[in-house]
Amino acid sequence: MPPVRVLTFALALASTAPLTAQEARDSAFGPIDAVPDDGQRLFESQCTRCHGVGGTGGVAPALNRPTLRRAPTDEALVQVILGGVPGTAMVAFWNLSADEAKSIALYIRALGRRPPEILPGDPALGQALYEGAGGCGACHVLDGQGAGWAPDLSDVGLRLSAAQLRQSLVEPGAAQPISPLPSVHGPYPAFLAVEATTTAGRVVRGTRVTEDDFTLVLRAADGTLHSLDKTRLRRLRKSPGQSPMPSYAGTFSADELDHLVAYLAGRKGAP
Amino acid sequence: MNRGLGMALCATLATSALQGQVTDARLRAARQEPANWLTYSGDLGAQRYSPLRQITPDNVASLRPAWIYQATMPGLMQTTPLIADGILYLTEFQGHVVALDALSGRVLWRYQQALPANLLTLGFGPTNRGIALLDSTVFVAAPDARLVALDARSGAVRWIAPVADNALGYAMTGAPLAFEGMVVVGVSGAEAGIRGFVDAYDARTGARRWRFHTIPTPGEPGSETWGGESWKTGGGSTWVTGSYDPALGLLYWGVGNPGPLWNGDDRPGDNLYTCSLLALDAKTGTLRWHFQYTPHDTHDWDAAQIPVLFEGRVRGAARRLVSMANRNGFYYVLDRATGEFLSGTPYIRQNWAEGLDARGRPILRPNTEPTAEGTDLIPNLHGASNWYSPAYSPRTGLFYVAARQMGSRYYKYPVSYTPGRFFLGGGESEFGGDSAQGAVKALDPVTGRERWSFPLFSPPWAGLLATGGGLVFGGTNEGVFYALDAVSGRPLWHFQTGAMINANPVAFAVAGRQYLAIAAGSTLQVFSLPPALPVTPTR
Repeated sequence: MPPVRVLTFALALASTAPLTAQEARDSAFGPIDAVPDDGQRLFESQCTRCHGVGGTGGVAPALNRPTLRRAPTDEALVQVILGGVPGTAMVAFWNLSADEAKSIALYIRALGRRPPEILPGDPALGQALYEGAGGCGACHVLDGQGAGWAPDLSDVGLRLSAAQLRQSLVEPGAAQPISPLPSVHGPYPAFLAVEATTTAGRVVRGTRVTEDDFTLVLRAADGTLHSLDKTRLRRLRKSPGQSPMPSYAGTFSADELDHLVAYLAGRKGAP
Repeated sequence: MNRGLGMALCATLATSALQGQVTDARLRAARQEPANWLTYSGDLGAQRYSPLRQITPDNVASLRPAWIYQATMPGLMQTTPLIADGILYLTEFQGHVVALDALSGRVLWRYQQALPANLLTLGFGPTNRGIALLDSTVFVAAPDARLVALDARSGAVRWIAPVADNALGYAMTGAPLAFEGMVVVGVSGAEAGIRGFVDAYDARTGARRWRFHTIPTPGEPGSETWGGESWKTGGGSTWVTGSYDPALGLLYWGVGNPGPLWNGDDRPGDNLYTCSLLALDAKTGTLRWHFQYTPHDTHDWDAAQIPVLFEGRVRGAARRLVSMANRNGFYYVLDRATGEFLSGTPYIRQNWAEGLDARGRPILRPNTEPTAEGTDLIPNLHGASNWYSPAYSPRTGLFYVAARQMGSRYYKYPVSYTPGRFFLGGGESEFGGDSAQGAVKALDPVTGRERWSFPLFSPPWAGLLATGGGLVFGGTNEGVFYALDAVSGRPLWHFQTGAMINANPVAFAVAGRQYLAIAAGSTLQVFSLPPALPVTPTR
């Protein structure tokens, strides 16, 4: 959120089981002077666009879990809300008062006390698929192993819900992560497919790494970075909704997808 | 002390003291001394035009950094620096003031605002957009709604005037406008349900000369445009610096949105003088005329853009004009003596109005109000333009605006007033990413017809500067400072500053060399041609 007049309040369209005021107060977070339902209303207006209704995740991490990677304590959670996470799309919500941030934090903590998702698959079988037939390590890093073209999956279980993990596997173009592409009017897709034709007639294809008015940096399929001067392009074609990741819908059976989801849902980073 | 040296020193001091006097006469004739940038918008008419012509389309490709100032206060700087007689004055985030040697970038003095721990800036943050200079005094607005006067030579406090109660949400972010022995300021806070005003203070003493409330009390003209008690929390912020015509004695000041922002149910009527341009008698603060761009606004389309004064021919007759590239997507031209509406033309693709009627009132499309389910509309709440400045070049005769092309989903919900809290009644969810774009547009200043357009990757937050060298300078969200050919819009030079540009460029000259300055992130970056490059005179 830029330091300009920014207010992105919005009513939630979908509904989730609302927490009672008592549940919210059950948190050991101390007194607040905001009205009790402020937390949910503020969360719905400020957070759901990226974190999903009920904190189930979206382009940003799911928040309906007992532990949050960047916010081990309630104070840290308030700090993340008010100060943002530098280098990510999580901006500082300085338009919120400290009380408002606290009531959002209370609501998020209450979401984390909901029962965990039921995962029908077998994580051990999922791991075998990840390391074997899936070939996932050719693009992803997990616990330090693999290649870093695609998102690091070491803590993907903290970021994505089971439903999102499944969607990422069967329909990767529709489950694109967002880019830290530095501009105030994101979110931008992290792996936008682009095809650039230079004035000299050279065609360069790849995924966008960053872009501004004069520069386009893209990564070709062989991993090469190309830094292009946009004033010297004859044509620039962007294809949103395409992912460099193949769909595993036809590769794996429904049971195998369950196994892989169970394995990935358990990836929660270094303890 | 050697007597002769002492006398010589006294003479030197006297000369520099005289040089440091930015008199009202100098402000009126600011265009005659292009080496300096003496007011927020470069001149009292707010054209943001520098006559300097050392840097041209032919040599701008050689422009490179001369020096960089790193702010001590983290936070995006939105400042427009002022330059007077070799000294550059800027404000950091939170309104701290720094004076620098304009040639070397070295700090001369610094003034640190003392701010309350419970500072309220609901909806915008404790930013600051610059100072005003008059005689030997620097004027700066403190975020907690105080006006501070400093000695321009040392930064010592001359006086501090309380302007409004920060605990109610009143705050100040804009650069004051100083002239004729007074300092004019506006306030922010419509998002907290304030009742806005424009104030004038005696430049010497800090005593208030007059106040014009932007929301009339019952019985005053315009009060019939508010229902019930709604005027008390009617908003109408005045947060962007206005302009002044000394010949007419009229001050032009834009007014922001009504409160509550997105829910207009309890404030039936046009809600004067929100989203309007005011023409005030500068001596008394009485209203001469007004023009409302967006009656009964429910989309946050403040008229808090720069009112630009210029002369033009309308239907064959010479007219004194004031124009505004309004947040609602239309470019308006008015007669600045009478307020008569002359033309209004969309400068982005908007979809809320069919057009304007003969008196300039928008002809609304159906179903544009925010709803519980959400209403999709262009432009978004930040508008087709915002607080950042446009530029007008008397050399090309064109008006330049950095336009924002993006839409939003507008929501409405119930709202009640609590002092010092948000008073909004809704919200928006903007349509961002690759679908949101911008453009630098060159418009015919009288008709609003587009002459050229230079596309921008994302909707801009930086203003423009036009120069006598035939260039237009601007900045991008992605950190690029760029120069366009003022006649054709062709890009001629760009530089990656390393942080978002959310400020207005200026030009100045020291020791025969032209400089460009722009705030980027928490730095001020200053550019010139390389010393080795032979230069032509600055003017």
